[in-house]
Amino acid sequence: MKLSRLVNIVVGVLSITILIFLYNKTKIVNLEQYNRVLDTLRELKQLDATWTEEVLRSRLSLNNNYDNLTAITTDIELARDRWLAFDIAQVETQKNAYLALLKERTELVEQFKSVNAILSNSIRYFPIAVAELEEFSSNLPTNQLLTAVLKYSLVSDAQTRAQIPALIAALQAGDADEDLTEQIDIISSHARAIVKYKQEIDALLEKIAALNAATLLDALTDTYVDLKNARLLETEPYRRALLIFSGILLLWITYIGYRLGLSYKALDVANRQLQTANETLEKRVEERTKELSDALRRLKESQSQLIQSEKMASLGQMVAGVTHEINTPLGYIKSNVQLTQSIVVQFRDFLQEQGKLMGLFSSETVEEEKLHTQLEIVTELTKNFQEEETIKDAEELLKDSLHGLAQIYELVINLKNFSRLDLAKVSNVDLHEQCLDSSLLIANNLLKDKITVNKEYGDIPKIKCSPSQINQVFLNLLTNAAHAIETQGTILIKTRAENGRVSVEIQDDGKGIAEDILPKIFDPFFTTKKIGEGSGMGLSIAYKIIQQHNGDIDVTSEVGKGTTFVVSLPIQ
Amino acid sequence: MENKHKRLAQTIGLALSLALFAFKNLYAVEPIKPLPLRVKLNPDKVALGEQLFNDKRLSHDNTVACVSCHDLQKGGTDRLPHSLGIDNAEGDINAPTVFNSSFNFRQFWDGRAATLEEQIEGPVHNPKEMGSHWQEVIGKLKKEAAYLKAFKALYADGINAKNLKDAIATFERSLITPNAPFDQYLRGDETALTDEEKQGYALFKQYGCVACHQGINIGGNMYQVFGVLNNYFEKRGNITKADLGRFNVTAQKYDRHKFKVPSLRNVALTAPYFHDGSADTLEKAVDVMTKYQLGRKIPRKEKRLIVQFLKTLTGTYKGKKLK
Repeated sequence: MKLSRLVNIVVGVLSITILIFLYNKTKIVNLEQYNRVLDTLRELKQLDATWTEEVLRSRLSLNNNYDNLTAITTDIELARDRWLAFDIAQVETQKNAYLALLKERTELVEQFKSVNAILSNSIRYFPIAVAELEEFSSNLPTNQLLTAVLKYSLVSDAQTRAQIPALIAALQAGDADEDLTEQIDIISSHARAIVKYKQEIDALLEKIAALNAATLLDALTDTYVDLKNARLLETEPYRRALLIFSGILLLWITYIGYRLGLSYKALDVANRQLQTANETLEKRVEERTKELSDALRRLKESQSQLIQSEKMASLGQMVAGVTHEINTPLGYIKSNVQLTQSIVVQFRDFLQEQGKLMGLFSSETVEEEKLHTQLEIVTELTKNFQEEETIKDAEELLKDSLHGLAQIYELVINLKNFSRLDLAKVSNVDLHEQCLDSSLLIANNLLKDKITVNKEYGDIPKIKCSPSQINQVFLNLLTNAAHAIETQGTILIKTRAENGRVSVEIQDDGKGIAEDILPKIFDPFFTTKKIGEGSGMGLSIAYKIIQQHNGDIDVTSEVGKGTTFVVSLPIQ
Repeated sequence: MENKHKRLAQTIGLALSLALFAFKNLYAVEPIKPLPLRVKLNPDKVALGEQLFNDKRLSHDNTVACVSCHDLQKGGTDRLPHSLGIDNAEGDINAPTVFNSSFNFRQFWDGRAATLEEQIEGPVHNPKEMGSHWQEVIGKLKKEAAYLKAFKALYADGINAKNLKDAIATFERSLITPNAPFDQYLRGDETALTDEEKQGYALFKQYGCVACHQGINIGGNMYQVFGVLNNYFEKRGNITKADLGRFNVTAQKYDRHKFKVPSLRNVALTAPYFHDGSADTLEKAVDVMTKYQLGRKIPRKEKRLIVQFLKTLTGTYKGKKLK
């Protein structure tokens, strides 16, 4: 359990680590970043083309201001800065080449803007200036200069350009009024300016066209694409591994999910069962309680049956003695009654003879002889009765018999008490009379020949108990004591009351109980007697009974000197 | 049937006239475009930027603010030939207007700053202007709870040079002056200009001023050599480093005396003119321009008309006409 858990944790951590590792390996290529750069490069190329176009539009006066051209410069710079934010070492040379080109081109465009403004103005103004001059003087060589300058401004041919300085010189050398000199100077300077700036602007446009960023940007794009592809290729195995690993993990998770589902199902079933169980729990507890109380009742029943059977067993042991106890008085009662019966017969005969005598006395005819004889017989019989004290004997016999009967009666009553099944506790039980004496009576047979019973009864109150059970305890203790005494001995019974309890001490001077078996004597089925003589239940039942009475039973014993049991019972 | 044709013809006619109208407006061929009426900016940044723009703690000795040389009450300039910095040090160059500077393609006369943010670096560090540095400025501003709070609210990283520049530049982007009479004219209001002003505009185009002063900002989108057809500096003499213009940035021969063409918006309010502040009136400026840049003479009347036109370029700030 613990090991598998550890394995699970290790596998989980390992999986996550591998996943992160593979993800990072594929993540090195920031595709989005590369794509953004490629987009920007494309944009730069587009802007570069538009830039050239706008320059040409300005040159051809299709643009009448530089706002568009300036806006493109700004856009290019913004795009450049976006690209430079993702700078990588591999393009350093190409980047520097492009930046240099861009800088140069920007400068060229700025120069173009300046020159173009002047040139346009001069070209536009030049014919006007010439016309103004012609208004004052038509004989000056202005036409050739005008044609040459305008031609040059359109076609830029070297031959025309070469002619212009001479034409300017011719104009200035011409025979002009003083006040026209200024206008001629203006025309001359514009002509020179047109030549100069036309040359410059041609060179600038040539350079601007030549400084095409497209090639560099294409090369840069290729480099970035190569780098991107290289990185992609580099990470391809990791990407594949990540895919496969993710697939495996997915399958694994699916499996776990499936198992979880099963577990959940089982849990659900268990839950439902639990719910049902919960619902029936009260009922079941009730049932179980009833069962338990039934069992308890049965146990009590069987316990009382056990006690009863033990009682019967001891009673059985006792029956012989008891029979003898009854037999003895019964024997002499029988002979006494037989003797009395014979006396009664004699007395009946005497009363018959006396009756005859009385008849003779009272007859009208006196038959002396008969009377005399009869008198003699009666006298004889009376003398016999007196001499033999028959009546007194009969009285004695009857008295003896009554005594015997009383003895039997007492025995029978005690037996009846003893064998009662009633377990109920009764108040006002006199332990001396109802328990100890009656137990002694029943045990008498065991005791009478060899044992002297000494009673040292104290002044004890009547207590509440089940007399039949307590009797059983005392009988058991007395029986054990009797058995412990092998030849002659004494049993001392002492009672006393103290601290709301009553204690009964039954002490014998028998053989005693060995120390090693002393702790076992209250165990059920423990016996030292031969099989058939004792059940081994006697003392354990006694213990139980005393316990049920909230009492104590203690034993002290010394081998060879005797054993003392002390039973202590609460009064109430 | 006939009715139907008539209606069709009417519809087509209407559509055509509409299309023509749209076409005309779309391809309106004026070389100058009107300013937008408003720009969309974070108003909190604008407010913070304005506060910083007016804050003298941006200078070393707490005497000079941006506004010292770019007074919004003086057309965004100080109306001095050369500005005065800390310790009353005289600068090397005329302060250009801050109004509409966001429409310039580069900043400074020599165009050395590509953006307004870059531009701010210049005066702050220039020993003749504010003579300070960011660490000093930030140290001072951080002592004010209001700044700490305002920056914290607008920028995750609070007060730093980048955010200071961003706030100031944002404010400067709000400094536009739309609705000049000329802009209204460009938007189609023929009554916005008088006939003379319209004549002035025609001359402005005819003379070729518009070759450089074109576009939305009427300049500010290109460089030009000062003294194309005549040598301005030779004539003026006493050439300083500032007179070299863009040459100071590129060291290219062709950039010698080349300057950013300034915007002509609110030009009537920003005298004296040119990088050296040498022309104290529009008339003088037009004279210099026609002579050195156009290589022409201009009759007094036409010059007056052009100046009249130039005065229609004064716009409004926060709804009020600039003075």
